[in-house]
Amino acid sequence: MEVLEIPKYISAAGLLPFLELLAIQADKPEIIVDFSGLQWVSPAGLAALTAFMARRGRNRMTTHVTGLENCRIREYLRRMNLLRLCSWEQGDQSFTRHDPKGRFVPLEQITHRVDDLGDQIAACIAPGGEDYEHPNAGLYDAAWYLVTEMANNVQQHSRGIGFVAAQTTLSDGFVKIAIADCGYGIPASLADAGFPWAKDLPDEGIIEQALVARVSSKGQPSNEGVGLTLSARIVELMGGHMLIASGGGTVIRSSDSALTKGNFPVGFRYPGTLIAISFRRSEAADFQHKLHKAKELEIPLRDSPNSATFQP
Amino acid sequence: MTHEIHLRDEFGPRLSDGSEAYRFRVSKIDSYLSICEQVVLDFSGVRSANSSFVNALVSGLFEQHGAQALSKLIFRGCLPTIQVLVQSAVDLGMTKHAERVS
Repeated sequence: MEVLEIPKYISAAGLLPFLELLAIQADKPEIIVDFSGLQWVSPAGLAALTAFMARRGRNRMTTHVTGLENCRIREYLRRMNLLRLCSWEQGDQSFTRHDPKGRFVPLEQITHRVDDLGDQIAACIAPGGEDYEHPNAGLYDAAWYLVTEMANNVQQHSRGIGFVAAQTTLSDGFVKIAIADCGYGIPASLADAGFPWAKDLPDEGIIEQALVARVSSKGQPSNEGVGLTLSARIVELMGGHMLIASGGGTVIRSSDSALTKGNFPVGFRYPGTLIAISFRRSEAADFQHKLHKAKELEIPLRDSPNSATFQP
Repeated sequence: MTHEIHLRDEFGPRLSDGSEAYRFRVSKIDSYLSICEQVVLDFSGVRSANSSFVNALVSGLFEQHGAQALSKLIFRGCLPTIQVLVQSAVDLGMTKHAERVS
């Protein structure tokens, strides 16, 4: 039986190798997941693993777990809801849950209303920001916007189960948000939407196209194909980066607009989509201006200004 | 005749679901734009909105009705962030309207 050995550190540098491990094991009918070496895992690693396990459960593939009892960060995994969401522990086991506000957002399944989910996560990342006059309001708005746009994509495109997790650390000043699903994937979704170029491009090229404004697989008018596009640009303007892994490809868009494309070994595909973003919390304070700038840069509009009528 | 739509009463303080907005536009706004002199979309009490919702609610009105929508629609009570989203949706709709005409 194959063993999926969870690496010691799943940090930013270790994420892609970890996703490759998941891709390699994705379709094995029976595997052992070994946690004994794990010492650090990012929200993106947690979200990816949870979606991976959800897919295995949905497809009735057998997964055995070992090494959890010796895992150095077992309590962290528990606090982050990994054990409960993967059904490795019942939800009623008692443990001390630290107040996560301002620090981390435990894994949540994207099941309830997206606007409420966005509020829950944004309020956790930016306590007090629900009040528009609060100093954290810009950070709240940024988190709410990004979570709701990405969660909408999971609900409307993926045909799978999605999860979100987040973390904010004062030491490095970055906010990290990750959304993963075990669904159809961006390349397959856009190919099905009938874009002719999608048949000729590798998966990483299709993901790159998904970052172009007005490319959408949705069947009815919704966000005009700018949800992911604007989210990526906003993250960039906040000094951050976005990683997208879906199907056989990966794309990282960094804070200088550079794209780094990659792919998984031939014949292996990441089962679903992972979007991991990271941005400077200090850069979110003027989210309104970042949003305006992102719209100017990404949505090709004609020159004539059509000023709408606004009243207080 | 002026028709007023209070979005907080319809959707609550946070607006995120583009599909919901699209259905609302088609069933509750489009027809009033043809028969009323003014239609007010009142965002008072709305704390947050995203592009999915605002584009689906607003952009199509301008794509369909063009300058007529510009003269009839009034957006009330928008927080600054929401005003950015609304103006962008208007610009996008007008651009698409111009593309249809030309």
